[in-house]
Amino acid sequence: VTTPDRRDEPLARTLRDLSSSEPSAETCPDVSTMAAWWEGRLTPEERAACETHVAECARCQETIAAIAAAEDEASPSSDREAASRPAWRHAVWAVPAAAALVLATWLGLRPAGIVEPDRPAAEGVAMALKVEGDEARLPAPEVRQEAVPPVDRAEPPVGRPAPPTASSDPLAARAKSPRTGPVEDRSQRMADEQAAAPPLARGAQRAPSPQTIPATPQAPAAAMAESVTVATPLEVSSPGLERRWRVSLDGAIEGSKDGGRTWTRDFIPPAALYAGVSPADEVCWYAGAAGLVLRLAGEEGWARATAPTRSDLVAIEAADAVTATATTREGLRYTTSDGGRSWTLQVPPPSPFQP
Amino acid sequence: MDDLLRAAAQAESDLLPRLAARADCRRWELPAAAFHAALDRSVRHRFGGARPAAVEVAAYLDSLHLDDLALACACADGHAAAWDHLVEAFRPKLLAAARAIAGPDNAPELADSVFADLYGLKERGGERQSLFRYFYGRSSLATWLRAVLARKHVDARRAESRLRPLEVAAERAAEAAVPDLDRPRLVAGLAAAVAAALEALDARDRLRLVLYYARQMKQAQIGRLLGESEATVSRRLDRIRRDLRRRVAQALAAQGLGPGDISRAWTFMLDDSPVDLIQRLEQLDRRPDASAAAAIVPGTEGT
Repeated sequence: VTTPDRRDEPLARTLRDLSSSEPSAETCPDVSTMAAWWEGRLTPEERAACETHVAECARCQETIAAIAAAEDEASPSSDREAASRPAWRHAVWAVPAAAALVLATWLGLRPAGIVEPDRPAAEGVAMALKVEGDEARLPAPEVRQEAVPPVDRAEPPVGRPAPPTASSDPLAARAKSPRTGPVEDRSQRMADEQAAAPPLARGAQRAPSPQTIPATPQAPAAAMAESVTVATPLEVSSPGLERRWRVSLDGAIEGSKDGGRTWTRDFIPPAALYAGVSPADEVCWYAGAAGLVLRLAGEEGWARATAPTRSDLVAIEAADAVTATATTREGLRYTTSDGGRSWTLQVPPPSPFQP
Repeated sequence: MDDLLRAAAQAESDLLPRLAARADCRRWELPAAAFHAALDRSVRHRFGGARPAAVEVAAYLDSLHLDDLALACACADGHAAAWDHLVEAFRPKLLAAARAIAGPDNAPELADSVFADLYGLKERGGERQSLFRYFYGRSSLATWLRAVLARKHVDARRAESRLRPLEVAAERAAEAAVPDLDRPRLVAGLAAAVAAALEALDARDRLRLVLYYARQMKQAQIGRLLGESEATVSRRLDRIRRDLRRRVAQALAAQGLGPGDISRAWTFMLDDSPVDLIQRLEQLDRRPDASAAAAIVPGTEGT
């Protein structure tokens, strides 16, 4: 990744000169459009028009750069940032022994002995546990297959619709089940659970909601917080099972090319993800909060699709890299047949029981 | 009520009550007519003269930040509690954004001027003209307020810079006063080659480049704007740079410049802004297609 201190000033100067022509205020996108562009809410046509204009317009370039700078400044407390943060980050973190145990169980979902290339396993745990904003260092957790404490629902993110709940999403029932055992056990459990769930395309998985685990009173830091939220990895396998993707504890998408033995961190999506599907080896779709849809299509890499809706998307099915259907928490289904550039709301057929 | 909104409401009988409930209009005692007028404006802004299907209009309305839209409507109507909430919830964010955009000294003035526009100190036909009339709910209110701040600051700065032509002219004259007679010719040749190569880029590639280099945006920010991952932005920036280098090398060779002249031209350009362009080219030299870099800056081979 190119770092800011390695920028080519002559190139920058030439670029600025090329864009310095005086714009006509009538042709510039208005503030509302710029804001919607920044939030990824324009249609593909609107976005293309913005890109073409701003590539030539110094005024709009400066405006969008200022918006970016302003959001960076405001990000710790901004609504948008809070809304786009993975749901587990809204919880207060603590370091009770029970939490370590549950995390250990979660980590046990990975094949034994696997360590992320750029982060030791124990450090990964430490990154996931925070005490009042400070990181806690823990020894490498022991993998256990029992003693998962009772779970409660975490509060939904402030200012956003709640993620899928047990009442609205049959698969959310998985959140209540112990997350133990190696990948093979988990696959079996998922197969069992999918028998009771609405059909999804091969490789699809819906993310259970975060779980809140009551802290044990014996823990030194228990007084600092009452609960610990543990996010579960939203792992998606390609039909060939070698290519896999998952959402890490800090919300980043990671990919594996060797069936989950090693993982490479890719990027942090702009909002929490609730569902994923891989209809082909180099194709993956993820859907999540506030209409977020991400698509990986071979060499094109990851790209954010146009949001079909502002509602949370809790399921996604896909036939290939261009055709997919995303479902909102309310049950509305949006279909794309152009790789996520545009979406069509599927009108449900009339009920046969209605007169 | 506009035709589009009426058609959508007829196609889906509970559309407007559902939107009003989601917007929590009752919290601000917002009359239905005022809320519907805001929806009307938003639909007209989005679709203009197009004639979308009712279901498309309904989906658009469902995608709006309705709670923010109701708050903006109530503030535009002068609802005291709505204003109290706005000031309490958004003023600190607005000030923080203004600090980031205009610096700590100018931030309070910038934020206050936006608040004045939001309130609508100007009147037309005896009515306050609140800036909130131009909030359509397509983005969150927080992002829209940041965009308002950004544009206001940029416009003010650009207007100010137009008042200082003599200083700029003096700077340019100082830059031109160079002892080496070849310097203007070589730098102009190189700059023209770089400019031509940039002009040949498509709009999206040029936007990536200009936002990163000229506007100092982060790759993650550019990625969010263009709907790409940070890694994709990084990869594409690298590819564009390689393409540019190849094109510049070809253009300079076509001008008849030899390796020595080209090397001097880059040196002159670097003298003007001593940064790590050569380092950048050296890095690129180690890549498989680095032959063009050697053509641009002879003597960097093997470094």
